[in-house]
Amino acid sequence: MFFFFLLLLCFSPVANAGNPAYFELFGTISFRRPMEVFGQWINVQKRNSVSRIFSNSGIKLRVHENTASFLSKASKLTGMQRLHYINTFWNRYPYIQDIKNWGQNDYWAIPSEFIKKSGDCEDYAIIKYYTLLALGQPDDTMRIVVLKDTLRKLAHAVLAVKEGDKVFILDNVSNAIVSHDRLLHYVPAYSLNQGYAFVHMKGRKL
Amino acid sequence: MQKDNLSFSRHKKHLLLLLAGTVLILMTAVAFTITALTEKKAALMSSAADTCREELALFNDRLAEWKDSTQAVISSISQENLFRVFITDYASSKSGLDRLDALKNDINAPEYEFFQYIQDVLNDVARMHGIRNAALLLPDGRPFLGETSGVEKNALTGTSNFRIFSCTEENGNVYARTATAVFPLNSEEKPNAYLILDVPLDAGFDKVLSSTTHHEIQYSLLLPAGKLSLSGGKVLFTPETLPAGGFDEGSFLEEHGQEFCMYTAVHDPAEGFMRASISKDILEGREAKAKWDVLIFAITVMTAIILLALVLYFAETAANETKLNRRISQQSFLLQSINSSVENGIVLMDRRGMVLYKNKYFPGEEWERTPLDSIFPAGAAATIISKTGEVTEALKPATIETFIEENGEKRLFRVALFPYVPERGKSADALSVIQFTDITIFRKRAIEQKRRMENLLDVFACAMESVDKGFRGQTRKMLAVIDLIRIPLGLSSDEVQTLSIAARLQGISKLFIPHDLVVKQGKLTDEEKARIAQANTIAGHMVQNFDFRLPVSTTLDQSGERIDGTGRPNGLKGDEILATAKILAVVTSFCAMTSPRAYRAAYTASEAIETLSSDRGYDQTIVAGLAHAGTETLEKLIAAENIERLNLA
Repeated sequence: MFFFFLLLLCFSPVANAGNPAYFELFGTISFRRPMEVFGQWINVQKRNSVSRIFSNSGIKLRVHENTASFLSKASKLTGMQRLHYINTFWNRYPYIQDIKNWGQNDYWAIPSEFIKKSGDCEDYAIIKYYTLLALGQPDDTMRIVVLKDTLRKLAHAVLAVKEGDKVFILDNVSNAIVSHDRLLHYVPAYSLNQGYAFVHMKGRKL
Repeated sequence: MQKDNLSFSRHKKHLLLLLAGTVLILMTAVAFTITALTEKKAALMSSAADTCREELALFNDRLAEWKDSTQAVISSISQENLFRVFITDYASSKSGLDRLDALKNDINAPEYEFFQYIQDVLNDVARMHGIRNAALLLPDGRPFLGETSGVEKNALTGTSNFRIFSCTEENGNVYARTATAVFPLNSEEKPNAYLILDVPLDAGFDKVLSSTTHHEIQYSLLLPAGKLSLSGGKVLFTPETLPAGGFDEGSFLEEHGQEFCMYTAVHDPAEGFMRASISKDILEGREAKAKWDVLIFAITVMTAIILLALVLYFAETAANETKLNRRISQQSFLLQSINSSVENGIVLMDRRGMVLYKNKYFPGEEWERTPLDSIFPAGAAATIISKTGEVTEALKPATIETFIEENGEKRLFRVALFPYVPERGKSADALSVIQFTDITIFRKRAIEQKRRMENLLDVFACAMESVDKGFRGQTRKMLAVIDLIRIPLGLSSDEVQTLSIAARLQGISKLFIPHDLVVKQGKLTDEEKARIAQANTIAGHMVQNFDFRLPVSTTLDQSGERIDGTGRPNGLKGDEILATAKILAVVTSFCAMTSPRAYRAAYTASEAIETLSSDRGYDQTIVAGLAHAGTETLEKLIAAENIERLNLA
């Protein structure tokens, strides 16, 4: 589970206008926050830096598929097609709760862990993020978004990817990729990529 | 004795009261038991009905609670804007529906992605809640999102909470198929779709169908589609149709087959009925147990009452026995004291002749339970026993005299017999109290006294006879005649005694007549007659002064009377004259006739009897009795007496 009190700790608005990394998510206002506040994300990046699966071509991902063959297929695709391929590929991994996998309420798995044990929502978002990063997707076009699912009444994480001038959501719930502004049941709390960290607030632009 | 009787009757009264009390209490206990047994079944049914009523209320509460929690889940889905926006976009207009139809057939359409996403999210949230199938149908029953089959159009009604309109079963799990209205964003009046969810009836619902306290009660929810009940802890769905009129709602148990049931209607989540039922076997078992409890209680109470009564009976009897024993010992002491002062022999004998008690008059070994005839001489014993029988039969005391040999000496006892019947009407237990009085000495003295008197009288007679030679031996002769007629006339000993004394004193007046008149030959002058009468009077007074305790004086006075009424001195007749006087008159006349006189010779016996027979002044029965002795015997007697008289002369 995520701790929403982090939102309060992070509450310190930063000017976003004109920032290339900024894009609107679920009709909220984003505030940039120092990365240090999100220790779990820093931890993931650190762990992943010593166990990168996509720099090693021979890691087996599933039957008849290793990192090399997967990346090769994905690299041949562009735009929404590539996003569908990656989303669908990783969504085939079974959804397993952290408590069952790791004995913890919330554990952010790095890709090398995910391909062995699968994971839950943020783990899908993380591996999709690193896959796209390995395929050359610019970091500032992607966000791992931690949000509240008002339908299922739980915390959730998805990957938001800016494709063209639209932001699409890669969700482990569906292989369908829908624009963020259609998903009325998601209320984002914060979003992360390698370079930036934002908190989100419902509100209207002045 | 009076006090004893009272004590015994009080004891009897106490025992009767105790018996009556015990019987009364026992009868009351039996009556209570019967009433309790009769009322037990009704009470059990009433109690079961109360339980069912309470349980139905709890059942309703549990159902409402389940409905609320289920409603919360369903509402979170049906009211989610994600879906409502989608539905509003595509279901609220014909063009929207047309676009949806087109979309479903074109996976490359840009909106197809969103359509698919919505479906995935719906399935995911359903999966999260264990809902087996989730779909959206248009109010006319056409599919809108997702797939489902077998949903009747008439299930899609209502605008408020969800309704269960049927149930399905998969892998042993029962799912309630629910329909919930989904409204457009701007209105909640007319739903533009219905959310169909197959809600699992598992852990939540089995608790609805079971009670934590009354496990004997079976619950079921009777819906139009069928019956939901528990079987082996799992929710079971049995498709069956509700009766046309539904079920009678009531607060009393109705009999249905092997069960007693109570129904109450539910209007939410679906038209149907809740049913609480209890098996007949259970109620019968309870009834049997309750009856046994009552019976065991009643038997215990009755046993206690009987035991108490017995304890009271024995206590009362023991107390009374103690009282009686004390009284008996007191009376026994009293009797022994009396007995020891009594100089008579006392024996208590039963009617079989067994001696039960003897007093100390009879020394030696104990006689208790010894036959009387082994103690007394057979003759005496037989007499006593025979007389005892009469006494106890007649219940009147009697006295007999008998000789009993005592220390080799024959002694005369007066034996007084008193009947004693302990209780009236039970003569079998009759006893006799026999009192022995030794009258040997008294009798001897009496005989001696009699002899002395006779001797005295003989002296008188002798003196009298010495005055008149003509009368010498007259007394002896008369006594001999009296002895002779004693038996033919059946005279009693008192009569014989009276006659013998009277015979001796008959001539006593002669002692008071001057001798010259006694021996005078020829007629007496008037003066002489008066002197003789005076002498008679004096003699009469003298005889009267003797206290013989016999009618001697009267016999002498009346001996001159004749039964034809011509006699002296009072002219009595017939039965007015004493019998002994009549006899004396005959005997005197007979003896006088058969004695010679200076002026005539003696009559023979037959002459005398003939003379007497012809004279109506004499009692002819007596004369006949005299004649019965026989002329010869009388002649001999007269001869002997006359010779004696001559010798004396």
